[in-house]
Amino acid sequence: MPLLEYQEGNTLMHRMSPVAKFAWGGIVLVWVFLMFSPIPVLILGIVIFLIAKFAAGLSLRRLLITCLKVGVLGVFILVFQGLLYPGQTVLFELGPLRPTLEGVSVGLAIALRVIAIVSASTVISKTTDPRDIFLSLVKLGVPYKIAYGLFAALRFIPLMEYEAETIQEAQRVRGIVTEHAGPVEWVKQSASLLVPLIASAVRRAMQTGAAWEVRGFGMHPTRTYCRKTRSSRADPIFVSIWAIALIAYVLLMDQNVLSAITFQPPK
Amino acid sequence: MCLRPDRVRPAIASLKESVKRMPLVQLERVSFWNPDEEQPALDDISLELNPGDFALLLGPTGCGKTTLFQVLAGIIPAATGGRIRGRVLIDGSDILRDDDKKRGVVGLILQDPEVQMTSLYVEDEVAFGPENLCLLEETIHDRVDEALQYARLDHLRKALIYPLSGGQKQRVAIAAGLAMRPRVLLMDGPTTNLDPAGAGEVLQLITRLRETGETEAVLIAANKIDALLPLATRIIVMDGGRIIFDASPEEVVLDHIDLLHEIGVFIPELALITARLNAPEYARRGKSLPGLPREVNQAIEMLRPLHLDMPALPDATPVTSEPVIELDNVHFGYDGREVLRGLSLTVHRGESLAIVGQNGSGKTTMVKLIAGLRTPQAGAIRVGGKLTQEASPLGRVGYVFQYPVHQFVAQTVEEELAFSLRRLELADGESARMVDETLELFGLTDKRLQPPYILSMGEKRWLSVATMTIMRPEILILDEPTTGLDRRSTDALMRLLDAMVRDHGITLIQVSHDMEQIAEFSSRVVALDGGRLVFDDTPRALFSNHAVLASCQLAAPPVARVAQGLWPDRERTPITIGEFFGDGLALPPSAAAAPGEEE
Repeated sequence: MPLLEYQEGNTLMHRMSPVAKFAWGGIVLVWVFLMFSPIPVLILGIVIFLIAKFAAGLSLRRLLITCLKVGVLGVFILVFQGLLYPGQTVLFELGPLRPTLEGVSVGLAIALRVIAIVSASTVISKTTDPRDIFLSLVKLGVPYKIAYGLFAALRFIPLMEYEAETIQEAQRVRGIVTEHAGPVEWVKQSASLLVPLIASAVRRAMQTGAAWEVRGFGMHPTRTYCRKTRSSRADPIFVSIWAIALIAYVLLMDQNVLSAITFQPPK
Repeated sequence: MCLRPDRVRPAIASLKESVKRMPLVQLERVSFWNPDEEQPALDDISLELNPGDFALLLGPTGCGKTTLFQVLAGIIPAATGGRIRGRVLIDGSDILRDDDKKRGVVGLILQDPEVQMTSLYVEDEVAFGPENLCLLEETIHDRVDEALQYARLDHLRKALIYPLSGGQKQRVAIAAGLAMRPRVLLMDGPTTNLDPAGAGEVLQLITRLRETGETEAVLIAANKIDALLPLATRIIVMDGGRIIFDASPEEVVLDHIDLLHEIGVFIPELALITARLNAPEYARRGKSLPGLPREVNQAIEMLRPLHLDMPALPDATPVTSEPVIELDNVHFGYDGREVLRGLSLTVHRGESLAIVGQNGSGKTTMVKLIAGLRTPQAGAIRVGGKLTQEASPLGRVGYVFQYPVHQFVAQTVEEELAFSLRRLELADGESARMVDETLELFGLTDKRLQPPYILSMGEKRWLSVATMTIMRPEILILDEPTTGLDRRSTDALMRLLDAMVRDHGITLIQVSHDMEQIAEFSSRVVALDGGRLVFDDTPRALFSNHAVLASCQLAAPPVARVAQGLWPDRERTPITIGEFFGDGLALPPSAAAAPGEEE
């Protein structure tokens, strides 16, 4: 039961501030949504993989496995788009099915987009200590009580998962089996799982709240933080390079320079 | 007017002296009502805690211990609502009325180490409180260093909290409390949720607190106080929201033992021995004890000159030779980690089997396999001669989980019981008759229309056991059935289960950490260590097997250790108070017959 995606390290991405990394993630997100054809997305994906390997010290094999899991979804997108996208270049006919080159191309681009987003977010989550996210939120002006609440939720998720498992087993002993139930029965039986789960979450939250309060949480409008916010000189450089590259791409696209080598959708 | 220093100085000195003598905590006639409740949860409580106090708070389930702690910690009524009357003075400041709530003066450690954690890492957890107090960074670092060293956790400083053991987590919670530099430390059942090794670790730390006087006063609420008795300077006893005694341990447990028994709390075994020897039957023969021994060795020293005769011990209860559960070289693991490594065991009809071992030794996995909730990865399990992989034993096997609410599925108590009979396809009249009968047997008839969630802790436990026994299972499994229950509920539950074993031939299996209860009620005990069976015999044999006790980090009940010390050359020695005195009674006859004894 891994609670944390984060892996300790001292690479460029580890040293960067969470804010810079989220800004980079935002740029990647905007970028992939501006791309309609597979080749540029593939190139972007390869760049992210290179960053994952050389600037974040991640294992490419593991990253590929994560992407392949998402890749299953990609195959669906590919087939779906290939068949339904209103293209002109029909690849072949199979009864009523007429997949087009444009459709396959758009499908492939969307599938690659998903993979690019997954790999960029993996780079961020594997190199960012959740404590730094909390600190960055506070630094960005989010009240510390709210930021801490979000942080605490992270601790509760695995506990609740474990509890839900136990309750399911406890109820199986009482004769509640959700696996073979019809839809109405399933809803009823899921409700009987939720009641004890919520009851225990409420009890836990109240005890936790009390324990925090005794330790002075919320006593002052601000608090001290022993942990230093991470930042590196590379932050602005890294983000600027990506921002400039994105702007350049948008400008080039506007000139339609790349349309010769990519399947630009007709304007 | 001019102040003359020679007059002012003594006045200041006397003021300082009176501040020093002021109680750290003072409750003046405090009553508290939970929202929408007529009956007060705390009823006219007056209490002082002074520097040097190491007090134990004792009382049956629902007596108001936790509520009292929450008042002292300043949580009630600010965070919970409800109505409060009286004055709560912490370090001289009335926290119900003054702006200064004296946060940090009182530290609170809860029963469940998990719910009080705030952070992912040990050092952050310890720094959390001082950070909230807005202390300077260097000061916080110093305090974290100091608290971690004190709790001997330096080596875990950078560790993640969630994979730590229960005992380690509770030590982190105590270190985090100490980093606030509280003057008073409150602990609400600090070892209740821990396995014996974890409880031992925390007890060591608590002993250190007592020896070094790290905090000026400590107040610990606990169900069983045997292990804490040597440390106590004071025992406070609560019942029905009131403080009924507040005196030295000797005075409370010796002079008021009948009343302690009546309100249903666990009485330390050494106190029971002392009380029995001071009863006329022994006192007349000059065999009474001069005082209350606090530790086993001290008890042996005090008892030796009395030359007590060891009474005859009962023979082991004969069991049938009919096997009901057979485990044959069973292996099981999670995520590539092997939890059970080749377990073989045969359980016979009518046995009352206890399974002991540290957390993670495979106890719960083993019983889940027997109940058919898991399938063995290698080896075979037969229940009633049938392989569990082929025929689910559920129905023949009842399983009572550790937390009763996990098993509740209906709106009312009676529906909860009727739900259990659903699978048996009985006639309506028959089903209603069985529900009535079970409600009666478990004393829940008055509560039949109540939602199960609002029952008291003991009643919830009753109901969870009733939902299983109503199905007339051949085997009943209970996972730590008495954790957190007071003596009255524990005794009543165990007596009822014992009757089911004797009268109906049910086979009882319980996972338990409670050695006194195993001594009293189990006919056989199995110890697991690292997924292997390391012991399988009677409780008496376990308590004299020091190698197994040490490797599983278990401790025999105090009375068993005293008996071994008194009669070292005997092969079999008593393991319960009843056996020690040869009459099966825990208390002298006058006290045992006190009202409220029988459930």
